[in-house]
Amino acid sequence: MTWFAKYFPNAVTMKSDFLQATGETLYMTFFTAVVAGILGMAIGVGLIVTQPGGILENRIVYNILDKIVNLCRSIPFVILLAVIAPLTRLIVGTAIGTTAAIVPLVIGSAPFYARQIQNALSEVDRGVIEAAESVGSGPIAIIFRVYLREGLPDIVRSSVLTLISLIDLTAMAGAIGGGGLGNLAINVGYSRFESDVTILAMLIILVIVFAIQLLGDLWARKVDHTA
Amino acid sequence: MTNEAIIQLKDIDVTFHNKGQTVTAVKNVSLTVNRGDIYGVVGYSGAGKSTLVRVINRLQRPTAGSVEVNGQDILELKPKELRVARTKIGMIFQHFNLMASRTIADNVGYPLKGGELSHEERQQKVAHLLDLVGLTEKAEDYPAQLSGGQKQRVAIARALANDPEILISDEATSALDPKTTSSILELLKRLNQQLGLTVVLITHEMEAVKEICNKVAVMDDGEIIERGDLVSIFSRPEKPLTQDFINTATQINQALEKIYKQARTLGLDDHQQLVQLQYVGASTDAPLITDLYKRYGVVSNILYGNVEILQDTPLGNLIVVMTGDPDKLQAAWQYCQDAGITITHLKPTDPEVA
Repeated sequence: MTWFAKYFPNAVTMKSDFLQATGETLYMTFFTAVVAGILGMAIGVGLIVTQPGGILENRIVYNILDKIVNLCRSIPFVILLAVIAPLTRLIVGTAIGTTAAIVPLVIGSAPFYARQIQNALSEVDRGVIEAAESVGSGPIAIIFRVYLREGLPDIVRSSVLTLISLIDLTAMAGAIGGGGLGNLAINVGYSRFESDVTILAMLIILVIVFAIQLLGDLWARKVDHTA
Repeated sequence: MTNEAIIQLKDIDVTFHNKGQTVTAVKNVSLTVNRGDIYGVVGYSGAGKSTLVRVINRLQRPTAGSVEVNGQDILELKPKELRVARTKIGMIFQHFNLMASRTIADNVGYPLKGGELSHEERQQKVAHLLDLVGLTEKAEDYPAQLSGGQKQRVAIARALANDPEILISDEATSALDPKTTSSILELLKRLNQQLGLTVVLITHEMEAVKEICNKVAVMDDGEIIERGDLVSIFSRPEKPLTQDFINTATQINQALEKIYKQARTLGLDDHQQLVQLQYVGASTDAPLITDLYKRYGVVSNILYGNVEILQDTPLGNLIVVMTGDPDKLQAAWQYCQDAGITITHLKPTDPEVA
């Protein structure tokens, strides 16, 4: 470990800080992924089924969902963090801290995920949907047994994409009080000119990202039977 | 074949509104299909055939008209009732529409999911269906590993999962090569005979109709322009479009084209006449050509001959050059007509080579 101490003179003394920050990043990522995943999936499916020509075509619902997604996606995340602080306080009781960061993270990532899901599901062959309708499948069966099943390889791929961009967002949320590796990199490493801390935080994030990408690719390949 | 109507479409109109434009895909069409029929609906793309048959299971709601299937008014059904009714109307498609994420067995078993059958019963049923279409050994494969013909067999098995009484085939053989097309058509014919399945077959190929249908309707521009049982449509087509479809199917068009080219160079004189002889049923058996020579001294030179067996009825076509005295020729033609043979005088200079 001497080379580590040599190149990371400050970080080597901060083992517990790094463990805690990594834990916080994973905590934010995981819970945001669960909440934003369900929310984004629901909105994405909603967009697909209510869109013109969809199985539950509904112009009003489609337009509302579409506008919400566009609106949320237009707000830069750093500004979103500040703007929704009152809402965060209402839900979590505080606007500062790791748990509080989950609220803006969900609002920042769910619409993005919804679009990804919409794109993934729009690749499902319309003819297959028609075939399912022709054997008597109802909307619920078509959503769960056809759309989500046939779209799974693309859903996995876009989930990976969303997850990685979510880690990016957690770093940003961390910088303004959410904790995690972003906080460590900026508020400790950058502010105190301890650049080895910044670099180590970055390396840990890279490892997490690569791990997610690798597992995601393997999973997508496993469920993809198109070739 | 009974005369009991299983599908009754009455005065169907289907109109689409798209960006301010109104397109009428089906105009005032009535169609009755009897139990056990294999009913062919022929037309070029854009004629409205697919839209028309989608009305049968309400994948397409008609703008006007009534739809009765199996004694049920399809247009009055609530969503849940419609789904039940649809299980009794199977459908297969040009591009098979199989689920790439499911194995063959899973694709076939899909319509049974959420139904009353237990897991074991479902597996048994799937095994039986795969056996019926001859794909037992492919059960655990995925659609991407199958050929086009095999995929269509899977689609047929899936369509039959809920024991439907009707099967709608929407251009199901159009993406297949001729040999595979024949085998799929044979399968449909077998299912028709074994299970009493009523088939509505949409196609732009009269060959497909010729092979298995007992009735046929010809569609053009949203309307049915001609309909009837297969033999009478083939032997006495009235509309030019129908003749065109038939001539393509029997390859007479191609033959005529060649003969006309040759006839122009031959230069027929007054004693020679190019005629098409068409005969239906028993008259195919008579030794006509020899008769004409013996009785009238008319020599017939056969340029093209073709016999189709439609619904066990032979339908023959001969293109011949007859040579003889003009009055003998007249008598010979009269003799043919009396024998129930249709004579068409062909003029090689006729630019109308369909």
